Amino acid sequence: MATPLTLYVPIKQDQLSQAAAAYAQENFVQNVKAGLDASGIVHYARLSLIPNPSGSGTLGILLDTVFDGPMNPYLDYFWQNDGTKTAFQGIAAIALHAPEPPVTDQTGFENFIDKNNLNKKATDLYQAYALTVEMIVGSPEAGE
Amino acid sequence: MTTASPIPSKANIQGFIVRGYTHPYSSHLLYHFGAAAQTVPFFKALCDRGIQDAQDWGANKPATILNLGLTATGLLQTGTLSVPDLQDFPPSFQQGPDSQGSQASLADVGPSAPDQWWYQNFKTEDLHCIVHVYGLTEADLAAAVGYVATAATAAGVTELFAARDNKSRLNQYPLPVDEIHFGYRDGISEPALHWRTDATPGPLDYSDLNNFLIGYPQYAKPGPGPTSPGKAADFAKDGCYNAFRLLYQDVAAFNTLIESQGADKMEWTAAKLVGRWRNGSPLMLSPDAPSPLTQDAEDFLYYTPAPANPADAGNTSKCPFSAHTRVTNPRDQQMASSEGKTPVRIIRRGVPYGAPLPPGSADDGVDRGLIGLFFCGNLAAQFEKISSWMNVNNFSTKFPTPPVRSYPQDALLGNRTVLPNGIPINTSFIIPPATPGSCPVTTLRSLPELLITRGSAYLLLPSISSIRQLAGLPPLPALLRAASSDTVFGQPRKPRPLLPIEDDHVATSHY
Repeated sequence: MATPLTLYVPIKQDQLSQAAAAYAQENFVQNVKAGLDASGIVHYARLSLIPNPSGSGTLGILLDTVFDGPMNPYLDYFWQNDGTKTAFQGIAAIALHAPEPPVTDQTGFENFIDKNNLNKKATDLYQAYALTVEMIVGSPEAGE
Repeated sequence: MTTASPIPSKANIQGFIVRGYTHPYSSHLLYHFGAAAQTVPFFKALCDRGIQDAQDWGANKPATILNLGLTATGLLQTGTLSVPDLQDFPPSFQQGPDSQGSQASLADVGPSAPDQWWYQNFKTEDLHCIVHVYGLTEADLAAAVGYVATAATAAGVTELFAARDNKSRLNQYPLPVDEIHFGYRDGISEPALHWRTDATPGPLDYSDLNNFLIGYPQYAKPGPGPTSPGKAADFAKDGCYNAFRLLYQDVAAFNTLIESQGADKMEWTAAKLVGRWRNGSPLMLSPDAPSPLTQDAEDFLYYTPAPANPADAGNTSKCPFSAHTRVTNPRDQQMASSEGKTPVRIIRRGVPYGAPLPPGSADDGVDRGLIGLFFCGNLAAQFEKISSWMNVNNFSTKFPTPPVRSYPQDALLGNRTVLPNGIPINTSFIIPPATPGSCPVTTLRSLPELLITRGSAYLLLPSISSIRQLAGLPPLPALLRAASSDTVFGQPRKPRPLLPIEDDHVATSHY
């Protein structure tokens, strides 16, 4: 079984932040693909924009991902990898409530994930199989 | 343009972070700060006796030594930091080892489960402070422990007891130096703890002290924190984290395991489980028998130099993949990308507790094991990462793809249990033959669980100046002077093969 991370971050309503959110969603796969491919542990990752109740604009960003293994140690990888680091810092930069501590060091990043993760108890994930990404597609280094 | 990395002052760092003490006696006192506790006079009393710093003591080895750590709730109870300040610390430290996030790596289940810890004498969140007392003699230790206990009583600080009888302290058992109850010499492989600066040659090294001390992010890979400006970062600077683990060791089960292959292969089996003979000789250097010439050896790699037989590129015919020391320090074994390029390290300062099991005896019911002190700068990225490796051997691309859709575990210390949402594991240990390709391999099936976690806590080991702050004392001007007088950390660097790993290693057909 895998570990879910469901990161929900309400965002600012100014034009720049709204545009940044739309851009992040539009380019999400392109920006994180290399890093997530290389990790060899991520089953899938998806970025969604939650609309405002009015129907106009974006209320928040929802990053929904499932990966193999425990979350705590792997945050180190996501922080050390430029693509995923930039993606997370981009989300933090347009957060409605500025992260405290700021996402400028690894501790700030770990706290940002912890405070905004809706899946702190992993009892709400159904998975049809008990295979790891490595078992399904092989090690990312194997073909090098 | 880079800025010069500042060099920490040895006078401001607790001594046991940068060097292991060899005092044969120690006691590890657990404390709770209740509503009536006066923590300022308690810490003042400890400072009056002296908290050991990292400066060289020369030929005058102290007869007694005090060091200490505080949990997140303990820090809060002192009133030095507020709730918002605490929230600047890493979540693993704030939430502790019994949290779901940490347990995803530590996997303490069954008799090791957090609700069973401390013999249920107290709850983990009630543990606020541990004072580590060391003595050259039993009398020295007794005097120092008596001093600390008196100071605690006077300050209304409550002592907690983790023993089955709820009254005995966690005392080191004076086994031969560095020996653990399973009979191995321990503590041979420790991070070098050099201080990296702009002038240090070579790639970043996880064994550098920069990865363990909080407050110097420039050359730290796993990001010891907090470092964002604020009270938390100021307080934590020059500190380090301690993953405290009280670990029962089932010596009778271990003896049964190594005897399972026959009396003539008992020591061979013990060596294969760990990757070193019980005297310390690594299998990579002494594959056939222990040798006094290699018992302290630390300079060796698994892939370099390459063996003559390319089918055995990882030298598993000497040291199996899942041998304990190979799991916890894979050296030049290529890591999975998600684990980083090179393996992280932790500092080990543990000591044995409990009387040894008499030779040839069945289990006698005596509690014995390790008072584990595992120091790191980032609990999640160092201690929990290595713990997760021990429970699931999937951290290296050099493990062959599992044939049975499950991963092996650390041969000695895996927990042998699949977590409800964990990665599937198997409990067989495959020992490749000495001649690669020949048959049969030796397989130890249904490896037993040899450890029970009796308790665990995450503590900050504050700097000397922060401990003085807890005691209501002013900073020491001498700290500044010391910073410029002694700046050499660790042992001199030894030349060694470079770690950057090529991708042309060939996986063998065995774990």
